[in-house]
Amino acid sequence: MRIPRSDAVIHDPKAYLYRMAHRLLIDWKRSKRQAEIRDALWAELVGASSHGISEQPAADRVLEARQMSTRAFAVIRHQGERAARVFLRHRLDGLTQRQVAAEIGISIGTVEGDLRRVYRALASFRASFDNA
Amino acid sequence: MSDNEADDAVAWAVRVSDLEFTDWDAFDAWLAGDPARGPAYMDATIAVEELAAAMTAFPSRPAGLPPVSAELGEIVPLRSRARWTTGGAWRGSLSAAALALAAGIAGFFFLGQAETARRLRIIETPLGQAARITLTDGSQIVVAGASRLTLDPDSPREVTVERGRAIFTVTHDPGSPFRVAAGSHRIVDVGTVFEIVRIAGTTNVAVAEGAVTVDPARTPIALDAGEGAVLHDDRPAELFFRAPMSIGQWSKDRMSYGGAPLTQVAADLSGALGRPIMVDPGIGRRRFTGSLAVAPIRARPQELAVLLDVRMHRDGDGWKLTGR
Repeated sequence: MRIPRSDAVIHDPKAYLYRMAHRLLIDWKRSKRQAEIRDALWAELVGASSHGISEQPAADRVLEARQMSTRAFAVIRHQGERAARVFLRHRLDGLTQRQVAAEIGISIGTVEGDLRRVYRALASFRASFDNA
Repeated sequence: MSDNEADDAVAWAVRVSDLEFTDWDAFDAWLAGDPARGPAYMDATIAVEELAAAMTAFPSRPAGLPPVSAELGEIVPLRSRARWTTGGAWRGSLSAAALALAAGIAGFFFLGQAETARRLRIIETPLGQAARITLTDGSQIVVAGASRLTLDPDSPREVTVERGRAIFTVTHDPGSPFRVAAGSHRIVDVGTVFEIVRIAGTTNVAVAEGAVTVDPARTPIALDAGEGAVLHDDRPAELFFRAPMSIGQWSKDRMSYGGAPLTQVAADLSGALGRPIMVDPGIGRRRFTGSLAVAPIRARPQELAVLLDVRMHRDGDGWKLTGR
């Protein structure tokens, strides 16, 4: 979370505040979720009478993230070449949806449709990954 | 939660994830309509958020290949051992038809013809300065600082990368494939954009557009856009995937990132500035979203400290970034 320098000019204060609040909320939710998952794993391992939070070894988390990444790429590619490209340009390369639309030569609506398809596929992949 | 509600949550996740989105009032109104919508929205958003983070940190490789020892998702900035030696005035005996410069990248040096039996044209860039070269066929090569390439005027579509980093934009000519030699490896291309990094005997090839064939005479490897390979002399190559436009960020005049790790930004800046930029491991995973114009940074590298919110001090030929 970065606070801008004091001499920076904010173009749209309300939208900026909303965007910052959204970011903070997402980050908080994610760390809360990770803590919950660790707790649940620990409870499974040692039984409900145990206390405390286990730290999954760092190497395990790296392996898991790497595996998740490999499969996520496969899931994305499975949605079709254009949808995959739209998603990668937007989410990994940081282009706005307008920029992606212009670059590929399609409408923003089409970009959104492609993104919805990929997001849905990734959401269900993520859910199954968690349950595995 | 009905399917429609779940679809709505996804639709909002897509809209809100666009940095240009401003219709927060409508988003509020939708959220307020049903208490289940908030969690549904969060699930969709966080799922994509976490996968995008994983994919940025670990660009994928196909199953069944041997694991890589170096993690290519985090590109280690090149630490150049090259020293620019001026042994006398450089001779600018260039053929204007063979080599031209694009505007915007200042400072290039050419050695004259090498003292070898074959008359080769050598392009060697000093630390800190890149060069953009246009060949007779219209192909372009952007050469990072502290790099060395050789061209053979008798074979205009053949280049050797001796060390360093270069991005090739090759014009299409199926009758005459463009060939790049890097160490013992050969990269053959018909018309494409790809990057070659060669350092300490290891060669990386990454394809941004089109397709290349690597080592066609040995075990051929076909690389499409978004794919790359680490080539070793003593063991099989390792494949990887990278989002195409993340390849060659360092050669553009503006580098844009959405949640990229600082190690990636530093690696690209190393290429752009031609000087190594090391990142303290404690902050390497920090994410950067934003856009960096290269020219002002080249002129005043210290500004990076403010732009990236880090402490920056000189380290050898380059800089080291640490937390504040």
